Amino acid sequence: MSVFSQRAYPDDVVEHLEAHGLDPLFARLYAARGIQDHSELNLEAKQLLPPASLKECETAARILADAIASKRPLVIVADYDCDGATACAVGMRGLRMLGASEEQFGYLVPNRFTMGYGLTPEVVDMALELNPRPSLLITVDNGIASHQGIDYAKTHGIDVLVTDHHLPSDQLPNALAIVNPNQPGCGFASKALAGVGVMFYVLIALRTLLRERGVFTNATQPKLEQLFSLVALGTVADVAQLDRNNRILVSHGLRKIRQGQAPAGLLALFEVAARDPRTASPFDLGFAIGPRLNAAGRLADMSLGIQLLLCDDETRAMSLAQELDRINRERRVIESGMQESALASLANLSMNEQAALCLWHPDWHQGVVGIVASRLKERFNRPTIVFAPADDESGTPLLRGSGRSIQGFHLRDALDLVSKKYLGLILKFGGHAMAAGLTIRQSDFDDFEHYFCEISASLLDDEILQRRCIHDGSLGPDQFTVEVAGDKVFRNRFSMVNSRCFSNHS
Amino acid sequence: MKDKHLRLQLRPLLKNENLAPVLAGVWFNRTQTLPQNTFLAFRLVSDRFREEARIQLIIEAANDSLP
Repeated sequence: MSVFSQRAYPDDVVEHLEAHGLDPLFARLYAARGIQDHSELNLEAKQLLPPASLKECETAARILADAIASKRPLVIVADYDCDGATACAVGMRGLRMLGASEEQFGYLVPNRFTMGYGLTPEVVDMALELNPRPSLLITVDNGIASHQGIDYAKTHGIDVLVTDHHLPSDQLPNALAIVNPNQPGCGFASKALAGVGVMFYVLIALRTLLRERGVFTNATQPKLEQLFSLVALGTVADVAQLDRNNRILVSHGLRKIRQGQAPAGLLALFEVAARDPRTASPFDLGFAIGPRLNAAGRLADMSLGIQLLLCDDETRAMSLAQELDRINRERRVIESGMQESALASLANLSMNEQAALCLWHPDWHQGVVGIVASRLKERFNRPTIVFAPADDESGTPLLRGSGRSIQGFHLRDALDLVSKKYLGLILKFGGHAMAAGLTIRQSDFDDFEHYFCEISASLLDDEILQRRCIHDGSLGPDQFTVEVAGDKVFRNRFSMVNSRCFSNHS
Repeated sequence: MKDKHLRLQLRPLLKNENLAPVLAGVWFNRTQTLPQNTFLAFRLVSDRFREEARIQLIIEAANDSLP
């Protein structure tokens, strides 16, 4: 049961928007989402925040321009989720368009089972074996927490350029340059930019620089706008907040997909998911396309997903998409098995006494813990961390966990508190307010559960624990239309006052 | 629906029942059925089925104590 409350909106803004010809319903929706002036509804690409305001974006562009000019071997280090895969594909396609030669660059994606998250020394070792051996690594959607890997790369003469959007810890890694809207001193107005968006911004800045250097003119420059579809997919699948800048990115991407101007692999995913690209919506990206792409990183290897996004051959794209669809079905089976055993183990718990949930089982699958955490969080409305056994090189059995939080509880900050109060308990952690990942020793699980619940209890109160649903009011009988449903950028949530449910069956 | 999702047929409660459209709804990952009169929060989505545009309510929350 949720407490319902309607999203507030200033009446004068609604009046202003209506005066500019907006339908009263949409005027109310936009006003409730903080739009103050009708000009903000202009989602033209030229309204995007300037790359120059993203700290070190121009430095990164200079590094890449020099690298392309001197044919310096470079490798993109991806992450195994949808944001990381799209960021990698955007980086690969974009650098190729901007003049990087095929022999000069490639990508690597860490295997979550053997290497874990981010640019670890193991991933650097993998890069060292490549031919040609890279002298520059570019992290996408990761790197801000990879202090060790970056230092290790340095000792082997490899520079690292970090592009990321995750929250940094107290100390930044020692990289050649860091582009991250969430780093201290970055004045970029959209902190919600996804990993794929950060990479896209670096490419835009790189194109500007190459124009200044006379490599292209306005007329001959490569059309990076072709990459909008991938930027939209990564942004929506990562559940990035749709602030104005992200709305511009997503609305352009959806427009491209609807026109069929998207990589063959993306269109093939629409087909295997039985969705129509001509009516592509954020919902399709978040619930049909994203999960299929993510399935590769969860159960197998995300390089399958990246291959799909890089593929321009329709036949091969279709066979890769079918493979991802098959893996996704397998993921569903694993997930429901884990969920059942999780629910069984929770059956005797009283939720009133439980500030947070921590679970693990020797049979659970590392790639699926995040989804299970997310489902349990939905069900019990408690911050939830689900762990699975992880490979250990050192001989110490480890657990890798993925956590999901509830509104009002900052999960990464909570883990930070635990890690500072109980030194050595958490081996590695990172993430956001609503989601985080961590590694602990198997033998420390009980301690971790105890201390995490203790810290959670001190941070949570009844106000936060109350399940809430913020909605946009009700629709009149004539407002259940395709136009209202088709609002492609905001995912509106209405409430239906006193609806009658006259047939329901499961 | 495969014992996993709840399929619903819904009608907004209006004074004039004749005006109330019949709507299709789905609540993903929920099987527990709903009481007859419920206050629901939903997202309206459209898709194309056999070249015909149709709309559906994706239910996200319920509250049976009305404000």
